[in-house]
Amino acid sequence: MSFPRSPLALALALAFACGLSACDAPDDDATLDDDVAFRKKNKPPKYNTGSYNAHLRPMTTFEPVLPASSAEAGRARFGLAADLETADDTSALFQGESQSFGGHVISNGRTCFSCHRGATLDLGLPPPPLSDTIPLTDPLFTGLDGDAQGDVDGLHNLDQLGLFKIRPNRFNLTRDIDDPFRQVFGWRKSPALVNVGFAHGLLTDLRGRTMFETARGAVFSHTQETDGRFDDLFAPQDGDDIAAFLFEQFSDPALAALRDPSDPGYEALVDDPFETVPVSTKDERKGKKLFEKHCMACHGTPNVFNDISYMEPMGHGERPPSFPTAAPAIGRGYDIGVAEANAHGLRFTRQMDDGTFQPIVLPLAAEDGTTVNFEVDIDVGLAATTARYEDVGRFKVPALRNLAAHAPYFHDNSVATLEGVVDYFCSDAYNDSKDGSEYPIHLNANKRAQLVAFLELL
Amino acid sequence: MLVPTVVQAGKPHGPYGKGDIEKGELSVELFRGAAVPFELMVVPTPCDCAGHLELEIEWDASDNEVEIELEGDHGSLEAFPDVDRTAGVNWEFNPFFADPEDIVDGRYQLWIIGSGGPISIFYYDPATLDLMGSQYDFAVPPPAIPVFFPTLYMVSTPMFQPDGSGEVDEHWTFAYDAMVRGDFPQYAHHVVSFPPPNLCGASADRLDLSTLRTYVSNPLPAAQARPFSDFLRDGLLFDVTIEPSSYFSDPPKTTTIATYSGATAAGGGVPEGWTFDIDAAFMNVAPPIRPWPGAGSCEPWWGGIHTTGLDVCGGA
Repeated sequence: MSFPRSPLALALALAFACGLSACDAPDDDATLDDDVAFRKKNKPPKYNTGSYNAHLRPMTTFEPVLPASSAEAGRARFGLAADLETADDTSALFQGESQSFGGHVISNGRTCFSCHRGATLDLGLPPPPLSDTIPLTDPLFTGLDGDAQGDVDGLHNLDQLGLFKIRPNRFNLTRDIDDPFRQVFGWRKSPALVNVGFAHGLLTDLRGRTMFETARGAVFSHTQETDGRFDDLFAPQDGDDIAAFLFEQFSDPALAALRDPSDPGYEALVDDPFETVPVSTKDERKGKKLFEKHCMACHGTPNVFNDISYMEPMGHGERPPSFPTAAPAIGRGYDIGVAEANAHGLRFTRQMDDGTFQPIVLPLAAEDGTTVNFEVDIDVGLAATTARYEDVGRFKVPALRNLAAHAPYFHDNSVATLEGVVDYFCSDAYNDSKDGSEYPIHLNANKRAQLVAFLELL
Repeated sequence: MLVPTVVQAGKPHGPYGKGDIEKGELSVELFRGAAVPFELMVVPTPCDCAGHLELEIEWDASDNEVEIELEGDHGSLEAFPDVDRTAGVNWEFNPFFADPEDIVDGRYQLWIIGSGGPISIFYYDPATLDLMGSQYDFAVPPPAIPVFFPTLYMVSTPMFQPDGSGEVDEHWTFAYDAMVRGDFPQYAHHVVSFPPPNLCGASADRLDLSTLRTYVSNPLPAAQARPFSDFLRDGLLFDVTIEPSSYFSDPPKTTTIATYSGATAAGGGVPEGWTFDIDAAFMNVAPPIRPWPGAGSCEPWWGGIHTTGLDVCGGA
């Protein structure tokens, strides 16, 4: 794989790859200005739209909770006890006779809670190594093959890196099991689900359009080792109830108004993007200005700070969430170079039955219709579900509230601290990336510290 | 607060749109095979099928106008085309979508299709399990097995012809608040679905293996016309069909003969040589596009009836 770079940019990227990131450079504003001028003069060619939908709009409306749904029932289906902290799988195991599956489905003991633990963790996982805080006898580990399916890297990547093996098209029965789109996979974190009710597109790669299909896919993959579907064991009501529960999980109760245009607090949250952010110190104020200037082009949803571009997947409301109309994706993903950096050196070849590893080659559509046979050596992100070459490496823009509690960062848990995140956005890996190059960021050490001070507030 | 998103980085090479539901525009190129459901035949086009059409739509709810422009260079389409089809080879009679087998001195029509119509009721004979029709055919529900299927809906422009050199330059105006057929303003949209002709040939879990055929309703009365905002929100498909020189049925429907098509229902549209994956759309799985089998040649292409052989009744 390759993306066009200028020779100097390539040299800078190589320097970064050798550990000499731009963030190690002297904090000389003149040097930074020179770099900005160079980049302006040598901007990379405009990239095409990929799966960006002609109907994407900046919207502060979100997937609704359906009237007949029950958040309490959704909590129980999720596998979370009423204390919102401990597991309760009484109503959360999906098993039994399934006509869709063609037999009896036996649960491996995993529930939604297995990967999205209690309220203290914002319905996410603790930082890795996971076995430091979760016993190896927990279904999180004993049910490993629900997703890893025998992959030799499965346990290490889960325990040490907090990453799950995700095959985005695993349950697409219209394609042969050996089809590269069914085999392609990524190693992805289990994100905190607090504020998921503001997501414009779900899952780290945006492939989930509604919470129904997102939850159903999760249940398919955490219950069993096969690629079989058991749609009849996951009723539309289950998806609606789980959505009702998750869509009321907020990092700050004041944010609830943003989901309801009829709420008296809605307009204030829309009009002031920082209404709920208690900026007080000088550094925080400066950090806020830096955030507005450098971050909000992508983190533009007021008071939540994910990407605001959206296409309603239900059209004008005549389709149920179990049958959305719009093809993926319904939000806007970005390639900021994290996948290409592959900081953990993750493997993306297919493990065969005989123990050998084979490359996966995805036939992807370029904008002009030519087919790019892409040998997968990074996490291709959104491209796995859109089949668009321009979508390689694109991922969802996460919401940023309570960010300081959600380390490590990015879809692959590749950066441990907020300081590291800000450094990354100042690096060549970001500034030379496909979408990052459209929004270059260069900050000296002082400004980086101010931006971190603001991010810690969120 | 609604501002352009896609065009912020300049005009993209692929389909793009700007504005919002109330006022905006979109541009999409139409290619052979880009969005053809099964049973449609895609005809060869002039100049070794090298052409395409450019479709631009501008809308403004406050002016109650939708402006549609369709353009193609010399050799895009053949004027007054003839189409010769053979039953069982590239055409099959369909009682729920009757169209002529052959066409002489044909004409063209652009269809604007909303991809997210309502879940609608289709009726099946309790004894034979054969399709009887849909809620759009019966004023009073018949004694039948009701089955729910998702639908699309489509409305057409007036008929048109390219000039003698095959150049297309058409411009039509619709009312934003009520999209009616351009050639019959007393009619609104048709409802389209792909139900099984017999319930034994279909499995809800494996629509990709099911026998499905196209159903097209008669046009609904103009009083039931949808606003253009519905089409925008649902995602759009476009198809330029070849129609007979005089209407085949009353009220009019359309044919299963396609030239150029396209879509914005799939993010980024459908590039040349690729096609919207209808099975994936039916089953809500990704990716939404596949390479089009007819690409790279300039021959008539027919998708055939969607799969036959599945029998969930066990031959009973």
